[in-house]
Amino acid sequence: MTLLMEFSLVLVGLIAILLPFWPGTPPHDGDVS
Amino acid sequence: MTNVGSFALDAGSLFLAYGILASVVGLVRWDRRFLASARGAGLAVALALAVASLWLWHLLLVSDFRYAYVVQETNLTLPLLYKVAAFWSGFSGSLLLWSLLLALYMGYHLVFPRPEARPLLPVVTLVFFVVVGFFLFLLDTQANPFAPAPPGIVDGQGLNPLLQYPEMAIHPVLLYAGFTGMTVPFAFAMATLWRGKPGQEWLWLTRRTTLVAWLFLTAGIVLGAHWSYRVLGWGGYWAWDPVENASFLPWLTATAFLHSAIVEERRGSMRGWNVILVLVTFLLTLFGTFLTRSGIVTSIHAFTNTSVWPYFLFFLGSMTLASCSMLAVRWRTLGDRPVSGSWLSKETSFVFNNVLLLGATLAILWGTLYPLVSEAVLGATITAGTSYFNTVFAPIALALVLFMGICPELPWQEGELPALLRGLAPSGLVGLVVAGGVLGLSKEVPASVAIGVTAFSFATMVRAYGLAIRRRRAAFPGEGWLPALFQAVAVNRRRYGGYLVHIGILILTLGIIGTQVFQVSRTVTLRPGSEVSVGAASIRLEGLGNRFLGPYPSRYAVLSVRAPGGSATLQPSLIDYPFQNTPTGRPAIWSTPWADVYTVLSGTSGQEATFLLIVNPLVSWIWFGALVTVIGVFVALGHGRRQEALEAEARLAAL
Repeated sequence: MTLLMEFSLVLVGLIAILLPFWPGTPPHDGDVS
Repeated sequence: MTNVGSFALDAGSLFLAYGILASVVGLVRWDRRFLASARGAGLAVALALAVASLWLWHLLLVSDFRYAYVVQETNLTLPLLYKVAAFWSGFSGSLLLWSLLLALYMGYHLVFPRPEARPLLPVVTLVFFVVVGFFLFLLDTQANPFAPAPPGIVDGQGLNPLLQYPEMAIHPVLLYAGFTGMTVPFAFAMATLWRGKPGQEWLWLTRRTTLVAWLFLTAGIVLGAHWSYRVLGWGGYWAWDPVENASFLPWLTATAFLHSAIVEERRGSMRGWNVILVLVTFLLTLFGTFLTRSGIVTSIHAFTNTSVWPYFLFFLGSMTLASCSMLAVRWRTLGDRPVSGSWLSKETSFVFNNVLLLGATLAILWGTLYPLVSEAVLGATITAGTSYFNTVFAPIALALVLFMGICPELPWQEGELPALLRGLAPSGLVGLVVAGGVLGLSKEVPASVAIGVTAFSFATMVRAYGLAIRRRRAAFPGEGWLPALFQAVAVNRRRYGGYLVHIGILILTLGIIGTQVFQVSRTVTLRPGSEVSVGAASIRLEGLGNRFLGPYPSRYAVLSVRAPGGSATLQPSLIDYPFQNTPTGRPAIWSTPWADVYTVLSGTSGQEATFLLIVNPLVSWIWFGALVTVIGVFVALGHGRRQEALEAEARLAAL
């Protein structure tokens, strides 16, 4: 159970930071200065 | 044992380190993918802190005494509510709460960004990373709430009994939400400075987020005062203790900003000053935390950890340096205009309001730091007493209250004295009559002046509502008074919400004047059957007894109280808490709208008992005024932002 929690945390975090580099992900409209 | 909490903190630290790197790369190369990735890291940090926090709650609720924090803050018999509240009752837990709230604020603004906030988000995220990073560093290295306890412990030490009071479960959360909430406007201000050429958007973002944090801070401060009054048994609610001052200082500067922001919105001036106020408010929250958590200034109700003060000092210094450098480099980009109102204008009255609030901030800061200064210069620690703070703060507060009454009657740019006097005449008359009445009844000149000024400002606020209703009914004949009031408020929720906040503060002020000037207190020793009078109340000791209050043995007295408003029976107790050498008095209070009768059993000897008996006039008004203030903020927060933006742009274009 605790291992699953730790694994999920790392997985969700990695997805959150890596998703923008995935080809085809639309850029966030807020980045334009 | 698998320590999910420590794991989550470590994972959060790694995500955060990556987030800082991605933010910097994204900002330097203006690479959208890295900036989006940094935002993802922000959410990952928030998630990690949420997991760590849920794990700590889990450990506290199941009484897992393999962890030192659970041992220190709870025991098996502790009621459920206080096991939940034990999360923030210790030093490392409170740091985790601090980080969690920061991360939640960050997560909220990343997930639900306002359209006008989007261009600022990259720097906002970076600022949050730095602040959260500092607290995560402390959690990881100095005060880990998931540190193991020595093996074999079967029960904990329990929560400090004085903190076992329902309000204490919520007061720290509100206070910390107020403190950490001030990071949001700070981050927006830094991002605005970074980006340059601020428009109205920076003002809406910082003002609204400051108002949210101000709401939490106000509620937190008042709940703390209420707890002190109901539990500590000294009959007061505010002692100018360093911890209290630490929360009051950013409250004062945030209040100043909420007022001077109006000048920028309407006249386009004071922008640089507003940026400074937002930065200073944030730095004061850090400074207050440094002061009270470091053990540098001793306080009766702060937990201290003397090993962290060098880190706090370093971080405070770094943030001050960063703020000042950013301000110096980008000052010219702010496009500030000079304040251009005449002496009789709203602009000038707002400037005075700011000078007074900043004056109060400096005076309280000086008094709080005086023990340090005196030790450095004189070699002896001299504490600035309550009388210093009261003497300095009372006239400033009175002047602020006076401006509250005058400002709504002043026009922008240039007013005329005859028109101003005509506008102020009705409220002035109310103030004079009330002051005269109080003087006739009490013969207290300063109190009569203070109450008269408060009544004057109160009348101005009521008159403003009256005028709004009249205008509404003139436009919509046949509409009832109450619907007209609601419609008038709905059209300009910010103004009338603000006035309601003022009404709340004025009610609170009357409560403070009542308790400060007209309090009557006596320390007496009574035998059963004997009676004593305190102010207008007669108090008779009916008897003494022993009983258990929850798990704690206590001695109690039965007092019958008669006062002009009725009668009541009170049972103050003297409780024997474990781990404490002397019994603690738990007051019994009879509250009425006009006065509280406050009784504390200080000690017993055979058939005799010693009491502290206090009649506290108008103390309920403090709590009621705070409630009105909170409702006023909610009214103001409901103001339509799009409409506000269009109005502001139109006004500035017309200048």
